[in-house]
Amino acid sequence: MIKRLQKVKHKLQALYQDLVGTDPLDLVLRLTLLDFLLRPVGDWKVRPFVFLLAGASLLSPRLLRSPITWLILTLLTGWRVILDWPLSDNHAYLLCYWCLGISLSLLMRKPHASLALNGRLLIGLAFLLAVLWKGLLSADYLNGTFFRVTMMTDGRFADVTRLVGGMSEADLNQNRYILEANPHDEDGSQYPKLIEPPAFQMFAQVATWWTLLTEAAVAVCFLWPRRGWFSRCRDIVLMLFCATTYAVAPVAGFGWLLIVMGLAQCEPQRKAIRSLYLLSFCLILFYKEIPWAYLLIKWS
Amino acid sequence: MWFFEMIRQERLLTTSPHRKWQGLFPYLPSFILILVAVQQLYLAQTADLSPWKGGGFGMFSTTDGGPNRHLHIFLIAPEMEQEVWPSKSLEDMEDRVKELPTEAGLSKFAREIANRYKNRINDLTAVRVEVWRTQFAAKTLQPFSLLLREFTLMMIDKETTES
Repeated sequence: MIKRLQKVKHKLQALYQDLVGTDPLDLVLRLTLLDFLLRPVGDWKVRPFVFLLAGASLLSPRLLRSPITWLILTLLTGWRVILDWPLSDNHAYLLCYWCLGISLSLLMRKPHASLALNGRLLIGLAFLLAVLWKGLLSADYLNGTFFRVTMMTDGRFADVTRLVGGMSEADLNQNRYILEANPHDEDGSQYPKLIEPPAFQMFAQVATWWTLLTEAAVAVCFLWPRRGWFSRCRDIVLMLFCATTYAVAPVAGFGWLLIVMGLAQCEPQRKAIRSLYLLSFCLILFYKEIPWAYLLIKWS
Repeated sequence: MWFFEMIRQERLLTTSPHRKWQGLFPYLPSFILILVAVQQLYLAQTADLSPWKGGGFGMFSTTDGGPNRHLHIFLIAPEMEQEVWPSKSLEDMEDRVKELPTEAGLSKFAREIANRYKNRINDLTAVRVEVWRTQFAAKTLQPFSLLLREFTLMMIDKETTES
């Protein structure tokens, strides 16, 4: 029994070495391709070509390292953004910039350094803009309205709202019905009262401030000069953001992309951090595929 | 200043001594990101582009977008004003107009509607398209609607003109 356990342990260690010992650049490129396959982009005009190229590049090391491959992926993802204008999600834009960053980096003498720079700047800028919108430009974020409304109207948050917010399914449905009324009647006298348990209100407030503060922390840490203290915290802050946000937010594709870009800017010698990035990638996969909140409600 | 210091540090890593212009290559994606984001900010402030869209990373920052924007279409004839709902085939165009209600987009959408109804309603004189957003009171979350944009397409002898 002990021998068997040791054998399993050795195999797991070998697997770990395989993953962490892989060339950092190859690992980043492969995970980006995996993101393409796990979270398909665009419609039939773009998707088959993306699948084909991403699949072939995963199998062929030559295609994987070819700037042409990534240039084509840049054009396909860019074409998708143009075709869908203005409906594409922000993830689509970031994916296109990232593919461009990869194709340009593969032309450089030091592709890893160039890709690391792209990873840091793209994450830093994206989070800076997200903080700008949430903290300054939006009229209904800081007062908690956004999360209160979204958690009750967006069906993808329903399980978490019930589990953490302590809202019954009937109350949630009734609240949703009231909030989705699209009223043209300016007379508010007939407006029925929403049922919001204290736990739900607290949850909405915590989500509001936690999201803003962690996004601000990521922006600062990734845009700070590399030798600074803030910069040294960047990997942990990003993984903390991903581990908490994507447990609730239903945008796994964005999470995977952030993890891949974070991994790209992580120094090759920091193997423990790189393995944590890989774990975070898997964690987001589990969040996406396992309805954990629903299961917890069912079991409780 | 620290930002420029960071850029300088990174450039040392990537610049070939023989071809210095190569050192600028890695900044291109970030440069495009900033350009697109500035355009998104501009359109959000001037053309009511939904903060969720346009590549400015305003997603999950406001209730203004997606299901909280709604479109109303009115067919106008002498002594008649009737609200109609767009068919499924216009869904894509409707979504685009809701998220970015520019005059050009509203005009195109109104023309499509006019083309579909002009033979059914003989004396159709105009098509009015309205884009509304639902806002929520901070304390009670009471929803109320706010008119974002309105466009009227006038019909003259089956030809159309904008107003």
